[in-house]
Amino acid sequence: MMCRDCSAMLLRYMQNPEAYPDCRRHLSQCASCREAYDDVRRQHRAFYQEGRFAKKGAAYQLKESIPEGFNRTNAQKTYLKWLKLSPILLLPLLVAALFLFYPQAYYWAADYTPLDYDPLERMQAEGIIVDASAEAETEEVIVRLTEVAADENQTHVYFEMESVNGEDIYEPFIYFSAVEVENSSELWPDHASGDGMMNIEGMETISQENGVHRGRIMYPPINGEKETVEMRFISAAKNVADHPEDRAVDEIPLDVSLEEEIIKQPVDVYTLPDAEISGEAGTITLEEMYVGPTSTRITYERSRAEARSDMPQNHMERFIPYEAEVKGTTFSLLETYQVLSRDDGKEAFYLESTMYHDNEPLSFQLGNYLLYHRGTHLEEEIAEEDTEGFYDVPYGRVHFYKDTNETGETLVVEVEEAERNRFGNFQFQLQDGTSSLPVQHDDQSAYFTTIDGEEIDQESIYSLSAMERVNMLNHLTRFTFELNPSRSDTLTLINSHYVELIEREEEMTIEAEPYTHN
Amino acid sequence: MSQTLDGSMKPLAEWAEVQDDRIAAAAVAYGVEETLDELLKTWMHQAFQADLSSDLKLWDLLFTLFEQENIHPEEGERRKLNVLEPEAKRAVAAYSYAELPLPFTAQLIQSGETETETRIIQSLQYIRTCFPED
Repeated sequence: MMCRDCSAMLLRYMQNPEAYPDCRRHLSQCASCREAYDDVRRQHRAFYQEGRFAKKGAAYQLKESIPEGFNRTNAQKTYLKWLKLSPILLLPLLVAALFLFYPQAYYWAADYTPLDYDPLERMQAEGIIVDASAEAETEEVIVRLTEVAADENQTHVYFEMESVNGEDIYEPFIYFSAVEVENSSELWPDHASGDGMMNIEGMETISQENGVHRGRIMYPPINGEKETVEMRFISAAKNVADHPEDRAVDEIPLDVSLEEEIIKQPVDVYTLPDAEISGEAGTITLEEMYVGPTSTRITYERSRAEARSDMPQNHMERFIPYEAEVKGTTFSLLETYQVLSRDDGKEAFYLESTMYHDNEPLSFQLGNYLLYHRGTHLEEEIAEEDTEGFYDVPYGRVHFYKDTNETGETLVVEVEEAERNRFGNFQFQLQDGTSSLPVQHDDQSAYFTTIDGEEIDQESIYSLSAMERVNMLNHLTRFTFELNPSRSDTLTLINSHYVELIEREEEMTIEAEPYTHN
Repeated sequence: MSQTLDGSMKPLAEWAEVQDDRIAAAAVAYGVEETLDELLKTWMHQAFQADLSSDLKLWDLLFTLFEQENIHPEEGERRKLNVLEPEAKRAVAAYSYAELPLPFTAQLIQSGETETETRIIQSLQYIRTCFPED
């Protein structure tokens, strides 16, 4: 054994010499190691002896001192044990209380996807909406007004349309001309045209199943605090396509009149200090937020930047946040919520309400947003002899070509978007020089629209909204339509909108402060 | 050495009673034998609050309390411990004074058994070098 090995195990040797004969042998032969071992052993023993003569008994006294406070500490221990268990025991009660006193919890728990949730349930939970019972029946459908809700932001009318024969591919086709409010001049004296037509701010399908189509129509806020809305559903449309995903509609008459009482609810008003969004197109300054039961309206002012080089000088932009997160729930802007300029001159956008009646400071996040560019329209003449053409547009390229099939000559317009964040808000029209010819579109070219200025209704124009484009992410869209042999020689292709998706690297957090609304 | 705690203070006191000789000896090493009563109450309270349930944790808390007293006795053999680093002092106090087994001492200073043995040996030799006349 080497000295190094022996000196490293002196404690073990000291405790049990018999177990280490090699070490014993080495110590007997090595004076240096033996001296080291003696030092270690003597000092260890000196410490040990000192410790052995220490005053004992402190621990015994400790035990005797316990009974005085034992019960209390024991109770405390029991209390602590229950305290540790309390989250588990109280969790069901807390969840029940959450759902009982905080109706929004239902939506968080049930579905984080705002486009899928039923806004009716929220307003019913909060006791805001008024149940309606108006109903009328035709040979084909039963039309019901089921609920109405109103505040200083908007007026919502919920309806059901049920197919009498139980078809589940029934799709309402209610446009500006197909539903009217007969007393619109009373409800909206500043907006109504006087002929019963009222601008619908949005119409949305909520559900469509078992032959029942549920939806809501959104109007501006009513003039008075309590009004009766008198609605007349003029026509609907039935999908007669062979495949439910295709679209081929037959318009059917309804002529159903229904009325319901509406009570306008107040809104909570918030200021939005320091909420400024600067971009290439200018600066958006958010100003106020009006939180009502039907919707949340956010007003803003916009200062325009210098015209972009790829834009005509007269282009204008509209700002639409694409995503907003409120209290942990991400809300895409509903596609049917239009950006409107109110009488106060403020531009605004609308979100689904999630925090009505909170009336407390809150923060929300804005994510990506859309910019509408107008005045960027494409207007190209297509002569009879033109069989194909290409046009560059700010968002890509438009390609048209003529084709002939068994039904006759067709014109196909394909829009290929070159940039992933830019797309046309398609509402193509063809003009033959004397009348405007609307065009319906279908990505799969599943149906055609005959170009005939006399037969096609101007208001049946089908267009893809910006939100649809964002959700679809389809960057090749095809419009196909038949050409009327009796058309004039020159067609004009018009596309007036252009939308840009601005992707934000980081969400913008906006602090909202409540204040009393006068 | 093992002692199961059942959530009350009594088993803690019983554990300390079993360890009485060792605790008293360790207290001598740190010069805290006069205040050991109070220290043990503090120890028991803290051990109870922290719900300590192993010998190692109980001893570690005890040595920590002793070390926090920051007493450096100048009489007796224990005065020689003052030349050591705190960790080495804890190892020698545990092994030589409190007679805690070497493996347990190694855990107390969070070191390997071989390294701990070497450290104690070197510490004892260093003390002999510092105090050759004794």
